[in-house]
Amino acid sequence: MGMNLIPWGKRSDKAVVGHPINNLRQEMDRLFEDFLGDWPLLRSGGEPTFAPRLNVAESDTEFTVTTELPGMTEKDVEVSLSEGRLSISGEKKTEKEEKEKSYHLVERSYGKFSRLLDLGASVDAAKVAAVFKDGVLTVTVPKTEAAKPKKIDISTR
Amino acid sequence: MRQSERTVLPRDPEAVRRSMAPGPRHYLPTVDVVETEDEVLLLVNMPGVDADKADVSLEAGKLHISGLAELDTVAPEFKPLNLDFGPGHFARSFVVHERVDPEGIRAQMQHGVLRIALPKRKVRSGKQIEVTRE
Repeated sequence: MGMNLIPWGKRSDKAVVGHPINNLRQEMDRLFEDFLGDWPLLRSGGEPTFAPRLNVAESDTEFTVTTELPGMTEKDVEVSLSEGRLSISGEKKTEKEEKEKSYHLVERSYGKFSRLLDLGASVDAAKVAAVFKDGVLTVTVPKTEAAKPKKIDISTR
Repeated sequence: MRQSERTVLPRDPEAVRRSMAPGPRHYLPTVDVVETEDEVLLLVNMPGVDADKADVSLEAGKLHISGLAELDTVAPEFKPLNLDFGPGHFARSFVVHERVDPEGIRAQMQHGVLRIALPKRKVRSGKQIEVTRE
């Protein structure tokens, strides 16, 4: 079952099959998942607590994946590629200060985070590069030679 | 594996491009405000903003924070498959309590986070009067 931003309640057994309201409900659920799918709910234990914003672009030769990870550096993040799935995960720790504090506003995200991306099989895991700048992580995933488009010369007979 | 963290790549890059409105985008940075005995600390998330492109000013009791995120736009040979964020301006303002000492305000930008320390004035309760034995 996906994760819903606003719970619609469990899919009611009492709902009439084929009733238009069911379709609307499913459409709304899917809308939330697809477009706001990275809104986190608070979770305990080892589960990720937030999903940082992410951009993906594709050219003939590579994928470029950028993620907003303000306040973090290489040591806070783990990037891995396995069977075409790119994983960007880590933890944003809170600042430890000894002084007594009162928190007036806490809008920034903390805790474990994770983003997973299926890029397909034609990527070269050995050549993945990741660079951090001003809290933005840029991961470059080259495509394998076989996956790059080849220009085929057309000869005339 | 949870559905929420997995990005489904859309099949229409043109729709993705269109969904990014043209022109500079304006963002509201997320902020933590923490108060200790000596100061009020603001931690402002502005990823992609360099120290040179961040601005902090205090005017008539209002603290104005802004930053320019100079991120690369998608090059023409690339198809955008998912665009959650892009280059643009961050801006946010806060009303500042009179107990803050404007001379002591310090701001540092690192790793896309602007850290602003607002020291509190030490409150003087008045003159100390010595009690003598009569």
